[in-house]
Amino acid sequence: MVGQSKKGNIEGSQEERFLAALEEYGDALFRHAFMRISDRERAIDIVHDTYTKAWSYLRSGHEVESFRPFLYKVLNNLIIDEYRKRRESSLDALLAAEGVTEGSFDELVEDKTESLAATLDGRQAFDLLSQLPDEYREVVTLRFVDGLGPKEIAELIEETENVVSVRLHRALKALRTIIETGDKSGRDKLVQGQDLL
Amino acid sequence: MKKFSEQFKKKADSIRLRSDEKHELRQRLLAYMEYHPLPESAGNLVRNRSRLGHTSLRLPASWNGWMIGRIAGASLVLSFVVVPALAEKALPGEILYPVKVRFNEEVRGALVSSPYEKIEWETERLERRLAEANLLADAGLLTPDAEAEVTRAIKQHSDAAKQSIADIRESDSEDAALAEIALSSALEVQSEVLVKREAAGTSPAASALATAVNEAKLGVNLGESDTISHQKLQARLETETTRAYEYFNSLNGVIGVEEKADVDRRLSDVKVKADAALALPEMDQATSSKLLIEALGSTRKIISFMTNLDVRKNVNIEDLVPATPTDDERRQALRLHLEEAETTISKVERGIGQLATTSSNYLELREGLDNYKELYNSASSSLATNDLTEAEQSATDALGLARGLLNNLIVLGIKIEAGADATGAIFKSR
Repeated sequence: MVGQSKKGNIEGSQEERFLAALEEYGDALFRHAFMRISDRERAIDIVHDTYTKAWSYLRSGHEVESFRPFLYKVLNNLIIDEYRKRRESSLDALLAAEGVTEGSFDELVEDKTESLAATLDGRQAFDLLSQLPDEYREVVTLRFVDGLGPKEIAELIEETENVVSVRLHRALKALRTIIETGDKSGRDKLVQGQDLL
Repeated sequence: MKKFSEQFKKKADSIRLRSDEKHELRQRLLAYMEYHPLPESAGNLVRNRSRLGHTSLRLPASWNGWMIGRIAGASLVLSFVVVPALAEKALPGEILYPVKVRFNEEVRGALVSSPYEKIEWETERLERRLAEANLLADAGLLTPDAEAEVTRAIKQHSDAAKQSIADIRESDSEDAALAEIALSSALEVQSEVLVKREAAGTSPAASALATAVNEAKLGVNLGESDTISHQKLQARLETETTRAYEYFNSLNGVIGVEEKADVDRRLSDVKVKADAALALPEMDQATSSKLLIEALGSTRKIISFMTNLDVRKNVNIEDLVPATPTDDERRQALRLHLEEAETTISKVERGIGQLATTSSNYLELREGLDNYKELYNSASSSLATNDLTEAEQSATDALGLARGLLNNLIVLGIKIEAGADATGAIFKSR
């Protein structure tokens, strides 16, 4: 994806490619950030910081061969930093409360992600997404908004494909729980889960 | 699954940057890129040079015109692109410095179209020379020759800017006055930088540079309020504050949070001043213009601070554009002034008690005390009615008088008892 610059006069082309990447991915990155942190102004700032970090990377003499994965990686790290600042509870703790070790395929066998998604209304799920913990929101956004496959998501968030699949499955299941039990009770259930941490 | 994905994606696609947000984001990034350019490829040039050094000057027989053309093209690129690009970072005394000032800057100067831009450019050249001198001084390399060269350049650029102002004054006195505000602000900033450097010992005291800047300031006025129309002033202030906010928005990571808040405070002060100017009635245009000119000068200085590393390194924003205190801050300062005045006067009271009541000194000091009471009462009542300007005047006079009376007692050899301050204030009950 990235590497030290081996070429000579790449500045002009790097600048043009950088600006082209702003045009091409600016909206998508903003959409992703906004869906993760639900704050328009902050999402714009994070997209801005994503590009300035990418620019600093170029300035330090590196070359970016493909901007899309690079920008998503930087954006994702910044969003995680944002969450750290907000002191959100961690996924590990959430999973521990659920009493399940992440990475198990057992439940996937019973109820595959595809068939689970088929039972959900996409519009309704979209509206309720903000009620999920960020770790769930992250994978759902990457999968259904940014159109990344499990392998790409796994590379981006530095987890195994297995973990991504399970997390995605659980996210959809959580959405279904919220839809089925109604907003409030579903949310309460999630909050209760987090309170056990 | 497909249906779910489509529904989900369709909803998500409605989230996008508005065109104004997109435009602003782009502007912020462009400003960031401008102030954090990609590094010059010095390494490449070094490699190019070493390669050239090993190339035989004899042309192989197989080389045709196309090849020679390519070499000629490469030479042109080297002469007109690479060398000038490297020269941009050259300092006085270095080989490429003449390329920077006699080629790069002259070419850029020839490209500016309006007289106003020409003045701006000459001002920037003057700032560049001073920044170079400061860099050399920091490295202990500012030789008398380099200093003389910079001094000559300061005079040359300030003369050129003044001459351009004089030229446009004939056709457009308003533009000339606006340009004068810009030049005056820039010179004040540079002068402050040199004062601070001298105080810190990083530049020699009473240097030729400081003299040159002070001489450049002579004859440059901060805009006559009756020369520029109100409308033109407003328009220029609008342009400059927009620029200032663009720079401000690109400051993340460039300066500290506290420093950024300080800049923000000054920008808010400018806005308050501009609003105050616009709120004045039409018959008070002179005062309104004066406020706008001050706001314009402050904005230019704030921009210098944000965009010029040399300025930021050497001065605080408070040195360039002191913060305008809010009414609350003014009231707080007033109360402190009055408290200090009361503490001082209580000492005077105790001192007077040691004098014979028939002595002329006693009578004179007693009269002073009566005057103090009047001033104190006036300050207190003005503070109560929120007439802060009047209150500040009276409080300053009261404090000055109290200190003066105390000094007189000390001169008379009266010893003021210590430790009675807590009970001292005599007028507090009023």
